[in-house]
Amino acid sequence: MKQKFTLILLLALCLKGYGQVQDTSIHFDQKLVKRLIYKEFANLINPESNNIIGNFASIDAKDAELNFAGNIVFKNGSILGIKANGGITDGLLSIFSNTEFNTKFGADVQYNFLFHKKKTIEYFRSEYLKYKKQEGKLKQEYKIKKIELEHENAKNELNIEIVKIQSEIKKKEKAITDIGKLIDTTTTLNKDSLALQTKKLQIDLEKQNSELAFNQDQLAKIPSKSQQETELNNWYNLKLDTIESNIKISGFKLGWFSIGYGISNNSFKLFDPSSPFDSQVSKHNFLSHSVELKYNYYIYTPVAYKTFFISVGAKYSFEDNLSSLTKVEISEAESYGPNNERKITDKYNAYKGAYKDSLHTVSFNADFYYFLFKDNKAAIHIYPEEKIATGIEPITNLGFGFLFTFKNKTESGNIVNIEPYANLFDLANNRHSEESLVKRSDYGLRVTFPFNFKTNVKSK
Amino acid sequence: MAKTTFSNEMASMLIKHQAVCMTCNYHGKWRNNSDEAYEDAEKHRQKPGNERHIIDVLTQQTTRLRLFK
Ligand SMILES: [Zn+2]
Repeated sequence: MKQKFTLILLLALCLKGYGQVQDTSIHFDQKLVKRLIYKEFANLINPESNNIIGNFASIDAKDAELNFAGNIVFKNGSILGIKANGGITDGLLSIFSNTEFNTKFGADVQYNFLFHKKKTIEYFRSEYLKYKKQEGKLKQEYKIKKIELEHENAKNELNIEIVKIQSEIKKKEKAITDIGKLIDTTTTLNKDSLALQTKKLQIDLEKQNSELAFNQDQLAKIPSKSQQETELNNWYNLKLDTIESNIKISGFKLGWFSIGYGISNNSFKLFDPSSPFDSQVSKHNFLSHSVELKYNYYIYTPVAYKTFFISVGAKYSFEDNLSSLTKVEISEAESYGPNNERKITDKYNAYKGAYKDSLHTVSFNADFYYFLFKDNKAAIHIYPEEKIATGIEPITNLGFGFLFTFKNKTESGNIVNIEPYANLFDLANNRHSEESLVKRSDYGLRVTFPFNFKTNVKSK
Repeated sequence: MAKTTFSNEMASMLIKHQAVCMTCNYHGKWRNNSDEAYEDAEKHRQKPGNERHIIDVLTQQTTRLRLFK
């Protein structure tokens, strides 16, 4: 007996301990985490990175290039990013001065394998407690509705109403007969006034009869218990979905692989001063393809100076070397009039240098963002690249950017991201350019407009 | 239904809490117990000049599935 008591006491203590642990580690359940992470992730990820996660439109002033990206989130959590871009490689200013353009059009798809066994999310407890409160309230409401349903409350209330109306009707009918009798027998009362009273009662009676018919009809049309139960459960699930989709996730930690395929068409003019005059400028077109494998790691947290994104990738491209050629401005003038007083000038850009196409290129690249300040308002962006191509010297490029994000005060999303950048081209001058590093490099401004529409992911 | 619950139980869960100030850049240590994080928050608030700071507790939740689902 004593042993039994000790056992029970021990068990009770264990349960108490267990209860405490439960209390301090309240959490979102596994299924919900899965849903949240995929729903929020597409919104939180930075569209500036070469990843096509997130929905955004961006403008690059240097290339006068427009990017448009969107993505599809799959049930398993993976994200397919699709990006289309088009631009004038001559740059934004050329739009106002030039008559003909060198253009670039392309499309990219990227599949991000996000179905990981390990998932980390961060949320503020105030948000969590708010959610728990709303959930508790909903559960209580559901319970009450369920009790009402069990006891066929709707039917009951209608029946009560019907009985009430029926007794009212009886009362009025009796009053009408009483007044009728009075009209027949009275000698002192005003008969006209009594007739008017009868009329009023008859109107009321008619109204109540119609109400009775309505309630009886409602009673007949009450859905079956099982139908009501289905409707109630749907109501509950929809409400719960709404509450859950309002949970704000403030951070996450994720590593994932992605593969991508890209296609791009360059249309451009080449300038070869050594050719005969008529064939110095020639039009060209080249379609390049690329496949890329990346590993990405992203830690996003509301705590300042702790957020970063890194991705490393290897890319194979079938491409040309247009980007390493020198851009020259050509102006052609046609003269009119007896003394050539009137001139029409056409201005355009052409590329000068040894053009090569159908190159097999392999490049290794990295993309690193380190976020600064409270709310991750800005970031240092570094993106080196090592390019190895058949037939030409390998080169090392290094890109720098400083990203400013402008956030909406009420929503978590950014309104606009602005990044001035510098792409240092061929750091060691392996391709023996006559131009200095500063001159052969690119400088520009990328402006991105993320749009945070909520991707509705159901992973039930 | 029962099957899903079963595989959900094949997961391990790690939860930690940290006080984070919304007003300044302060953040406390990661704690196993949320109350410790709330104590950190109050310690931060008691420092001169911090009386009006808004502090919340950030929870980090890591789930790891033991079986591939
Ligand atoms: Zn503070």
